[in-house]
Amino acid sequence: MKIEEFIDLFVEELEIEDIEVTQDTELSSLAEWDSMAVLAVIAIASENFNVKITAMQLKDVKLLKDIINLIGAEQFE
Amino acid sequence: MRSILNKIEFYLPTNILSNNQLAKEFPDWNSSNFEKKVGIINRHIVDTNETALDLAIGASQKLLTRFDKKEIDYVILCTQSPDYHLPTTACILQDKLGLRKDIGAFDFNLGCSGYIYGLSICKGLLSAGIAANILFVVSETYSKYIHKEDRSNRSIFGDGAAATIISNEDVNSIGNFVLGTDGSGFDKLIVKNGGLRSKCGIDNSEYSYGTNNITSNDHLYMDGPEIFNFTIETIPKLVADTLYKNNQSLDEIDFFVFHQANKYMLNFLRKRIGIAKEKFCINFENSGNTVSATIPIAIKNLQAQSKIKKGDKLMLVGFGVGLSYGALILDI
Repeated sequence: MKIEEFIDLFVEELEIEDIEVTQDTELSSLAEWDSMAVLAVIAIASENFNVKITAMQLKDVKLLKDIINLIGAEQFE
Repeated sequence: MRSILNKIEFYLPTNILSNNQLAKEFPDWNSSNFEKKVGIINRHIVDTNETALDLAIGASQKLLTRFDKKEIDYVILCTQSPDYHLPTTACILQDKLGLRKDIGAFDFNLGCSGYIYGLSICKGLLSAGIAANILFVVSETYSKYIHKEDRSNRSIFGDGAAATIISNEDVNSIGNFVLGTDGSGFDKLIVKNGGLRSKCGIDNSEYSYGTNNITSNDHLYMDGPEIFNFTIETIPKLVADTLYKNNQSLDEIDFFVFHQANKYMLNFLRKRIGIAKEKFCINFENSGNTVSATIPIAIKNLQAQSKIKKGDKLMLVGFGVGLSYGALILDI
C-alpha cells in the first residue's frame, strides 16, 4: 500500500471531512480523533497489514506519520 | 418439548440514561457519532438503593409466572456486582423467590463471558443428574463502579438482569463448548480496589485516560483498545474452533449472537469471520452493554422481532473481563 492510500483509508474510516490530512497532521488537532478512532487505527493495521498496535504504543503518537511508523515503514511502497 | 426461547426473561431498571442526557453532562461529546458507531442510544441505570439482587428477582419473577417454582432444584447466579462479599447472592435469591430449601445455590464471578460459562455449568449439572431444572440468572450493576466523569464507560455500560430456566429436556440442544482464558490481561478491565488485595480508599487518586475520562482505582477501568486487540486475536479462532467441535459450517448456523459490546467492534469481527449481516445480531441500542446479560437480552429481542424461531441453530459467543471467552452452539 502507498502512504497516500493509507491516508485515504484513515480519512475514510474516521469520516474526516473538510480538512486536508497529511503525514504531518497532528492527531489531536482532528475533532474525529477519539477513542473510536483509536479502534479504527487498530482495525486498519490488523486488516491491511496484519500488524498489532497496542494501546500503550498509541499513547505516544502525535502525528499521523507516527502511526505509519508503528505499522512499519517497510510495509509501504 | 419447550424451547429454551420460552424460558428466558430479562429485567431492566426503570431509570433510563439517554445519549441526550449524557450530552448535557459532556458538552464536547459527539453523541450522534457515538450512536452511529457504538450503536447505543439508551441504557438503564439502577437507583442508589437498587442492587443486582433486585434485578435478579425482577427477571426471575417474570419467568416464574409461567414455570412452577417448586420444580426449580438449583439456582446459579452470575454477577460481578454482588450485594455482599458474602453470602452468595443466589442464597438470598432462593429465599426472596420462595424456592424450595432442598436445592443448590451459588454465585459465580464472570463478566461478558458469563452467560456461556453458566450454560456450560448447567449442562454439566443436568448431564450428571445433579439437577433437573436450573434457574440460571445473570445480573449486573456496573454503573455502581463507574466514575461519574468517566464518559466512555458511562456511555457503554447499562445495568440489567436475565433469567433462564435450563432443564433436563434442554441438554441435547446445548451443543459442545469451546472455552478460553488469558489471565495475563486481568488488569485490562478491572475494579482494582474493594477486594482484599487493596481496599477502597487506599491509593484512590483520580486519573485521566482515553478521551478525557476520569477514573480511580476505586472505580471501573477498561482499556478499550487492548480489549479490541484481544477480541481480534481470539474471537475468529474461537468461532472456527466451535464450528469444528460441533461438526458444523458457518452456513449451517442460523444466527450469531455475540456479546453485545460495541457495534464497531462487532462489525469488524463479523466481516473478518465472514458472517452475513442478516445473520448477525446487533441489538443493544436501548440497553447498552449489560455485561453477562447482553446475550439473553439479545435472544429475547431477536425472538420478539421474529428474526429467530424455534428450530434455529444459534452460535453464542461471549468475551471480556478476565480475560475470559467462550462459545457454543444452541438449538432453540
